[in-house]
Amino acid sequence: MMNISKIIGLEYYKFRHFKPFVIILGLYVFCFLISGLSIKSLLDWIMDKQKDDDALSYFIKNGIPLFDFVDIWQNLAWLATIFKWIPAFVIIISVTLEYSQKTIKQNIIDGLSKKEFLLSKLALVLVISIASALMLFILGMFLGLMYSPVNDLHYILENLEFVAAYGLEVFVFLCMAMFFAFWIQKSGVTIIIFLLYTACIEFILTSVMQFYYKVPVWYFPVEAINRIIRVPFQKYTLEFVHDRILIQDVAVALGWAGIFIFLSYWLLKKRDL
Amino acid sequence: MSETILLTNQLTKRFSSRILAVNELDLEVLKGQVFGILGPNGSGKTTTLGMLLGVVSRTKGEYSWFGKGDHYSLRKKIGAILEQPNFYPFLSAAQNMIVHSQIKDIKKPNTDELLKLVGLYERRNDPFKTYSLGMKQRLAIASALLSDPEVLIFDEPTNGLDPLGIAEIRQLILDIRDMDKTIIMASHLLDEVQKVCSHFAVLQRGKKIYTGSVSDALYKTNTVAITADNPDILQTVLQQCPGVKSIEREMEMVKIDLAEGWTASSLNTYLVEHGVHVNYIQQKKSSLEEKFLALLRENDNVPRIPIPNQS
Repeated sequence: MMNISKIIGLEYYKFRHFKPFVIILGLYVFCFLISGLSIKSLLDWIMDKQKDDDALSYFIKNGIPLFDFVDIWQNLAWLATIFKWIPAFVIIISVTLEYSQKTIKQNIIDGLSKKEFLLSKLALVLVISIASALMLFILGMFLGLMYSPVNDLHYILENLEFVAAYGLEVFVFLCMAMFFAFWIQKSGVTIIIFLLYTACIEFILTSVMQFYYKVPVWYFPVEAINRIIRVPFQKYTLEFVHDRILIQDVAVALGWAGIFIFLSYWLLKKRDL
Repeated sequence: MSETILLTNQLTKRFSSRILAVNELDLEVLKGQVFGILGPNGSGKTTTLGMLLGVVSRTKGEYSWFGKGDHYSLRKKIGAILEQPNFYPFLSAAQNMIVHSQIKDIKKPNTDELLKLVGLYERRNDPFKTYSLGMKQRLAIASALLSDPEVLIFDEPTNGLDPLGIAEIRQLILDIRDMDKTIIMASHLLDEVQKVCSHFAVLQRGKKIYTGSVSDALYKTNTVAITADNPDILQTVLQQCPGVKSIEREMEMVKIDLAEGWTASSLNTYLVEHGVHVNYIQQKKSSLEEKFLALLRENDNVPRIPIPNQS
């Protein structure tokens, strides 16, 4: 019964001529690529400014191995996570617009099931996540081949799981955005609350819990999403970092994705349109 | 026996402990009928249609489309517009029709043909947001016709339109009726139901208080209007006539309700026998409006509102 091409096609036909989407997604690609391509020159510039800093003397001599293969995938994946808010807006708008224009109601009347409607939004989430991972892969290959001293295929392909992890991180984050949109339904309010929660509220809450009460916070959604790809840069100051993806981090994040999808479905099912 | 298109059984929607929007509604719509659901604002018409179309959940009861139950895929064979036409504002008429046909699993939609039918072909590439309300309503009808549906549902299709728009939409509905389709239409405009529908049900506060065919409802009245040169004598004679149930005097005209078995012509014969010659005698068909208000009064003690004279 379920027809995948129909469900993906539906989103395509709905939004292919919607200018804001084209602009926002274009902005995403632009920010993503431009920042990736400019990091090198930015770091070179900082190093040049800090010539006399003793602490940095090692890096000044040897350069930061940011784009060396093996390291590059985690470094880039972590840097790219900052951009995941941009496609989140696309998801929020795509869901809330259906409510404000009441087209979701018409979709259901025309013979779409609520499940198919949710799946069509999920298809959009999935396509953006896969495209994001692909974009990261292309950028990584380009930068790596340009700057990395090691060009061995074996090293190139090592740690490639960080590309998939980036796709997963975007996926879970977009699922969260989708849930907020189904829950609140108004685009402006959804964007404000989503931004406040993901960028402020949870951060303050987890910081207080962690440092004040010493309570573990791994189960918070944004925390779980951020944990998939750990911050890699302390390793350059010889601190310990996780330079692998931990299976428990992936499990918690996937759990949240499941919860967000289920809650969206539950809200959709329960509410009259 | 005609094929049943829609059957509802004890359909009920309760929004809260205080608000019972639809109360144990039983309806049956047969193939080929133009079925009007009549009722004052807030009587549960839109809620009923919402339940039948899967956008409002039921509290109790069931419904069945085409005798096959309430599965969502059956709605692909129904063309429906609830309240306002809802489309993607940034897409053109043709692009919106593509989205609809994608949902309804139509491989080759006859978009152009339908847009010509509703007179939107010239504007098919303009975005929906630039359309007037009448055009939006016509696009809604075109997209409702996309899947060549067996049944069409309109919810107050002429609401908010100017007289020209109303006339256009009504003509379109009549054209669709002539395509041998079943139509279910909710309206509070009695005149509209009278002009368009073959059958109707009346809802009041969520309860069905009447159902039947429009022609039956219209012919049941026995009101006769009479004028004569001397209305006083006319009235006196009529008061003694056994066929007269009640008399009402409106200026020169006398309006009476006939008893069972009497017609305008037998009354005329009686009057001639008693020496009264009439200038004018006509058996009135009641308008649906009178019938409707009478029904509402019977079921509820609505204060009697003077009925504007429509002829």
